[in-house]
Amino acid sequence: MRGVSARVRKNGSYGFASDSEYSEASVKRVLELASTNAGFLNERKPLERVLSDRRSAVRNDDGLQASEQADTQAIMSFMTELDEHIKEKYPKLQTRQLVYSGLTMEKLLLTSDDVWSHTLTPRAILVANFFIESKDGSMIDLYDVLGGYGYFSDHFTRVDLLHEKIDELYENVSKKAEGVYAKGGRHTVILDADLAGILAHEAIGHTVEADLVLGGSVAGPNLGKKVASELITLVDYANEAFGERCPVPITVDDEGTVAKDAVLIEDGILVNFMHNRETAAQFEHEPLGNARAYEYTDEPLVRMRNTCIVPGKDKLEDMIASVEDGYYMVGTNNGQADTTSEFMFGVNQGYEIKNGKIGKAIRDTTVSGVAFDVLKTVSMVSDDLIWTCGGMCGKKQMIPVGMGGPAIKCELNVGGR
Amino acid sequence: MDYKQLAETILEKAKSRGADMAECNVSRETLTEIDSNTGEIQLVRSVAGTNVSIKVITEQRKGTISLNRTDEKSIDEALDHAFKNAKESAPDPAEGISDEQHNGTFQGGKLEPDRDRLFALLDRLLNDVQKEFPHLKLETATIQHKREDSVYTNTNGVLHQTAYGINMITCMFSGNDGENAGSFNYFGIFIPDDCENLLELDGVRRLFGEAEKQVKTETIGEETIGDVVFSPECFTTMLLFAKHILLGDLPLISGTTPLKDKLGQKIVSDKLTWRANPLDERFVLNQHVTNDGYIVEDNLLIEKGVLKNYALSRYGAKASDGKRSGNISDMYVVEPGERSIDEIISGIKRGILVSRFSGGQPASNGDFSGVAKNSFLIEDGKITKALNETMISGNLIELLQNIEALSSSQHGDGARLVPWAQVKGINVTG
Repeated sequence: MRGVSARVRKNGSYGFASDSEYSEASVKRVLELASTNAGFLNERKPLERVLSDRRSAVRNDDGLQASEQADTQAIMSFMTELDEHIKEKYPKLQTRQLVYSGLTMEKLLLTSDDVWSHTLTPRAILVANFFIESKDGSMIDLYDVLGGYGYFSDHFTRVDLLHEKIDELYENVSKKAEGVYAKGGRHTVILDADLAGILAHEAIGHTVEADLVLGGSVAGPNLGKKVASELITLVDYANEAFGERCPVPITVDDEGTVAKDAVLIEDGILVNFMHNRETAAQFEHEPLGNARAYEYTDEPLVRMRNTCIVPGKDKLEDMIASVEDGYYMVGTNNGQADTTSEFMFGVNQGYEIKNGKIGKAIRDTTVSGVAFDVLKTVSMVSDDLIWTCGGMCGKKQMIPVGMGGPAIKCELNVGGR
Repeated sequence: MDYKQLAETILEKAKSRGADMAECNVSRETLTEIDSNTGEIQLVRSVAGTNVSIKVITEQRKGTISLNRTDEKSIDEALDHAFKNAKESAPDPAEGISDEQHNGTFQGGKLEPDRDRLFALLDRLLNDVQKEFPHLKLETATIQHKREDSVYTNTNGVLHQTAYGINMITCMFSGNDGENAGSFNYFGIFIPDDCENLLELDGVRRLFGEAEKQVKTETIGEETIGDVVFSPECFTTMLLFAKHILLGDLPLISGTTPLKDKLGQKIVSDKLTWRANPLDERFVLNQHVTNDGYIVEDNLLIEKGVLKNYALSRYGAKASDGKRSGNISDMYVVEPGERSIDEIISGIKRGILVSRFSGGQPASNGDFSGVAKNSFLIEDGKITKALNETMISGNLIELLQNIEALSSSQHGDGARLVPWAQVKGINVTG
């Protein structure tokens, strides 16, 4: 899919227009319509708003070539071989699903204040979902997401390279089929990277997006205050973290702002929000490249990029050993959070911890709490960082995001049965 | 552009390239939208786009492609890809296209946007909210007119043409008294042509009022409470889950639903009669053609607790040896009960009222667990306080089995009509 769009600002009013026709004529057309739309608002409800200044011209090219055409033959051949392997090796599986999806976002941005930017972000994801029947006859499922930044050919060259991951998935779904229901209530829990990542994104990240701060999020009055254990530093990385490329690297955002890392919580203190140019001016903060749009039909919104808690100094095995009676939550299949920072995450893979050791697997459950309270209970943070590779965030529009983190030990509510 | 001609040309090309079967959908969507943030109107957005979807089947192998270009070169390239995709696909005997039938042309709603009316309605809403709900923060309010012109045609001679125009308001909001912020809630409601005041739309005042009361909340403690009253919006959420997990294509094809082979059996409370009927005259907008190219018919899912039909598409029916459903939309009508919601609440000794369920998709066996958002405690027949951090869990089938009462009133967003539901046996923890 391709097309063109234009956004025009008159005083504080925005007009936006897009068209699926990709031509010089349609560029002219959407510019005129966007201008008319901005004028329509400016005549009826004039707003006096300023934008943060652009200090200099921006010239950016990610340097990547136009998107790779999907080689359906290679994809089908790979998927068929992988499926045959699973079918043969794991006959106890009731059913299995393999879904490959490739998403490449290519954008050319020009602005009236001298920005020229070409960006290209490819992503290749393979989801393997296994279903197995438990002793009580109910169907138990578990999935894993493989791949990440890049094209199909960057991740899926040989089926045997995935065998280990597939074996792990089968082992985990088998354990889950023999699992028990979690005991509801407040528990000591170790959230592994997936869940720590979604906590950072959903429960904290959204509350510190400046448009939601203006909308009354709980973070607003807490800028400069202690909101978490001093073990917690939380960053929205632009394109690189700890010397490695992030899952969704952003070099220049969709308003033309050069992207920089946004440190949001530092040693437990809330120190910044994420901005577009307008909210940055309102708060007198520096915009760091968080204005992002998904498709050409979408206007830029304040969005996250690659959000995670910064790793600490603890070893995961020591963290588990320190829990007498609790849970080790590993995988999540969804997450929702509130502007109050109250959150709920679905847990599709987890284990009991009894006397410092991993016990029985648990069936699907949820964890919930108030993030700014939960983060104050964090007593250990592991020394590793794992990014999840298939994150999509919905906020009017969908958009790919990176999230991940270390494991954290905290206190929160577990849904029981 | 003549979309019918374009769709027919694409079909001819597909046939001449050797497709055993082919279908094509060409649609043009135009959107006019006005957006407000925190009470200020800030953006007018216009979106126009054409979408072409092509499916070809050769030797039971399916290839599909979608594009948003209509020039001959792009169409030819797309057909190349569709045939290439088909060639690489595994044969699937369930694949096919809709059968020969009466062709239809349908139109609904006002096709042209009235930008001044949209602006006036939104502006009034923002002003009225400020006056009537001083402790409400309207984070976003978006009003839009969407028009979609669509042509579906296939090599069985099916040709359906539709043109719809619809206005809609979506809001995200929370209570905020300057010191405390409550949980957010949201809605999306189709706007009838005669609407002059968006606050008068079904449910809007109630949802705004509930949000204001959520500014100060309390926990209910560890105690498990018996009765849960689901708001119409929240009960709709549970029905959407139930359809997706228990009655739809995927669970029937994969055999993961516990309701496989239960047609004609009583599976839930006899108080529940639930149908998907996009043709209901009370809806603001109707839908006349299914996504897989059939004229819509009423689909009675459950009648007095008895499973009458699944929600199967043509493909789902073939792949699961089932019967194709009249439609698989989410435009539900649930028959009402006998008592008003006030009467239902007055009869509850201790329970909770839930307006929003914050949780992920339930497990394939129907187990669910999530946070009861925007919820209230019911004590001795009265709503006493707003709750926070309250979790509910259970099983979807058991939830529908344990319906104690449905309200005598039905509510909806212009494309659904669902009552309040009182359910027993849900686990509630603080």
